[in-house]
Amino acid sequence: MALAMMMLFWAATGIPVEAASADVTFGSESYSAEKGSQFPVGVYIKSDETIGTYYVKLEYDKTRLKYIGGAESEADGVIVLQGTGTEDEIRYMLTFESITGGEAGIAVTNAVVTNEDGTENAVAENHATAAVKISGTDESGVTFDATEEESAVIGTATASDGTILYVVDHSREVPSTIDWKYQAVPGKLGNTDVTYLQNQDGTVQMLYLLDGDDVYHPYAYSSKDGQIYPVHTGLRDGKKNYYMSTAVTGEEVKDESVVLAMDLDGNVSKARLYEDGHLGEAGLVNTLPVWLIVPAVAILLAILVGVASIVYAKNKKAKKIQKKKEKIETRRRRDIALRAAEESGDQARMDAIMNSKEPIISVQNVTMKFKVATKAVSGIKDYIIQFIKGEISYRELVALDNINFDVYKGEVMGIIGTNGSGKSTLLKIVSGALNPTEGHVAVDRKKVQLLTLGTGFDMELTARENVYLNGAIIGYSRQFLDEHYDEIVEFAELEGFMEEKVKNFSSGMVSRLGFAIATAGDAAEILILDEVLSVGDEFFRKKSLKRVKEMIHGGSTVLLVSHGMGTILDNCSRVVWIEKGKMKMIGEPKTVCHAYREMGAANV
Amino acid sequence: MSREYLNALWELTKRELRRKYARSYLGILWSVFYPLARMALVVFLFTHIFSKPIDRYPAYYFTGYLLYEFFYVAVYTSVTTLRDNKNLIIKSKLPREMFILSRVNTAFINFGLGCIPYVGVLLFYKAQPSLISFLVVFDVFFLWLFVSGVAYLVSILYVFVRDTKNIVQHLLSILRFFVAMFYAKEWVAPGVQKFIEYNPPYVFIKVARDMVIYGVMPELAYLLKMIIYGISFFVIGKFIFNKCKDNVLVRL
Repeated sequence: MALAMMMLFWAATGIPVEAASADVTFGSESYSAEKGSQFPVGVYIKSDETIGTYYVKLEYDKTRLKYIGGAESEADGVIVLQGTGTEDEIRYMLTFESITGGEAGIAVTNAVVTNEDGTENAVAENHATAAVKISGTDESGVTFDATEEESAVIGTATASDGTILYVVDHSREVPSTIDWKYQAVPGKLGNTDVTYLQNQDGTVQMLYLLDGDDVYHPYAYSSKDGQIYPVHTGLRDGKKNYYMSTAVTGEEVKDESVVLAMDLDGNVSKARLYEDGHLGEAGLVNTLPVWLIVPAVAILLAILVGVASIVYAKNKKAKKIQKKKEKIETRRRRDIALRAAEESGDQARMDAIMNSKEPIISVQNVTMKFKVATKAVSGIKDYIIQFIKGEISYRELVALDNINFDVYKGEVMGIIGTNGSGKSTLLKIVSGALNPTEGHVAVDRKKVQLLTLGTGFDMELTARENVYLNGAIIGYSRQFLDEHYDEIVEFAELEGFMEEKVKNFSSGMVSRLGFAIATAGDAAEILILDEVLSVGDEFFRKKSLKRVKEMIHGGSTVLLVSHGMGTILDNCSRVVWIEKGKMKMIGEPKTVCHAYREMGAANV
Repeated sequence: MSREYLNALWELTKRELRRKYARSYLGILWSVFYPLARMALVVFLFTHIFSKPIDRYPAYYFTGYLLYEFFYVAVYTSVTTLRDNKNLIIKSKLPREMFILSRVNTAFINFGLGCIPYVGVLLFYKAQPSLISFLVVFDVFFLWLFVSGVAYLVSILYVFVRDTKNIVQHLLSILRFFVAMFYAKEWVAPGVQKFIEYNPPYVFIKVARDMVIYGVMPELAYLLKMIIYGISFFVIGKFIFNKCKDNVLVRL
């Protein structure tokens, strides 16, 4: 049957003209052997040119003979001789062992010899046979006939990666593993006539080539460059696809991850090959995920907005209740302040208190405790060691103990006390830098401006850069700083120094700059001054005092910490005295300062 | 966020940049030049070692390097922010997040400068950008969210545990090996691959590579991970930061 088809094929395409010729012969036409003995059989491959690659298939009567050795491979009665030669003749010596008596035989079923440079394929037309007569009884009963199992190898081919493979005539033999829709079409591979397996629209022509181990490998033929390219399989959307280089269609390969993919129905399209071997869309715009992302993001955002609005609503409700409570408390505390003003006979302040609905600053039961490790712990290692030893212990340091006072609009509240009594801690709590352990400070933190000395400057930057940095941190806009820049420089008396780095400044210069920046704006509604009125030389001190007074007149409420009793007495309307975290006294500056001095004198 | 905060954030960021380049002649050009030099070195060293080449390797490496470096610098510099800015924090009523964000944004600007040579590399190695490439802004946005979230977390943690600085530094250098920066994910063991796939910095790098270099949409799983990592880290980081920020100053 296979032979008949071959004939048909030859007839259709014409008998190929073989420029080279090759022949495979046995050492003898007949051999005789004793049953159970080993004997050699010579095989000679001859060509009229130097042999390049060769592929010879032999078949032997496996019922009567046993193959012992001498060839490249043997399987189920078929011996393959293959390799690369350097001369025009190649010799093999095969060894067989006879198993049983009778008429056995060895036959050449196919022989393809390619010349040295791979341009010509010579197919041996004369398939030799050798008869083997084995003495003894015939236990096989089979008549050996090799011609029916003729191989379809008709030539060798070199793939683009340099591997040598054997071309099979698909009009005679098609691998049983083919699972895609194809039609067989005659064509040429180099000088050899072949049958291509082609998909419906003819874009892909494949050949299944045999390797030396008789395994089929699909290759795609490119009619543009006459090359064959390996074909692989991969999954695309979970379905098996064959894919190959886009060079098959003659296209220039720009991106090696883009391949030509063919599904099992033979539909061809471009695809992107991912590293794990699966195929995806090759197109530039892949709409599906975009479609999915947009709603996904939208849903997420909607959820976020929903959660945020619920939280916001809840907070609002809680705040309302809180406010009501505070109102009652405020009224009670205002009465206390009013009584104090009444006692001192200050009518103006009484009016101010009466007019203001609630205090600007209300310090309510503020207690501040610091945990101080009695032993320095400098990291996890230390911590663990000391923890194991049981040496971790804390001492509680009460910096502020139940401080209570209100400050009303327009008041200048002085805070006095010896060093370490908690004044600065109190200011930090009021300004919001620290949170009290207990109690609460009611104040609009947005209106608060804390002015302390020498902090917040970046020594590596110039004075100009520091003005902008500090200004921005205080909350000035860029435009405001541009407008007031000259004013700040003038006030700080630092003309000509602004491009210098601050680290080269004296401490007085730094303080002046700090004061100038902090007071540049329209007076902050609540100004907290921590020892700033003792800055610089006498002239600057006067100037800054003047500015602070301007601010007070402008309606600022001031909290003033100072060790200078003069400053306190001159500027404050009320004074709080804090001693070792406890509130000692609050009231008239004169009274409180007097008491403070007396205590100081007693301690000396 | 009100405008005055934005101004403060910008000034703080400018300060960080000025400090970074305070004593160098090339100044900010370092941010442009160094990533390019680094890419050149890595490409020179590795291109011929690999048996399976990576498509457009220089651009592949550069993408990973730029994104990871943004993450690394932002997180690493954020650790000590609260302590470094102690004085300013006491003085100002600026939300404390601003100080963290200023460091993140400094690293972000650094990243932006690195993108200048990156565009050149993309052009030179004929990347295949498409309309999808523009979507990379989302990748960068979610990366920024993710980085900010992590920065919040580590800066707070540092206040309580000083070793955080060392831990973060070492973790970041180890993590660098698990983002497939200079190799392909497929080259490592399957277990490690799994880890890399879930490693947040890798997700952002992978998405950027697909979009910018190859002009394709990454797999949906990566897009979802990108969004989830970005939003969740930011929300969690900010939440913990806000919970703890008031107790922080006492410990500084």
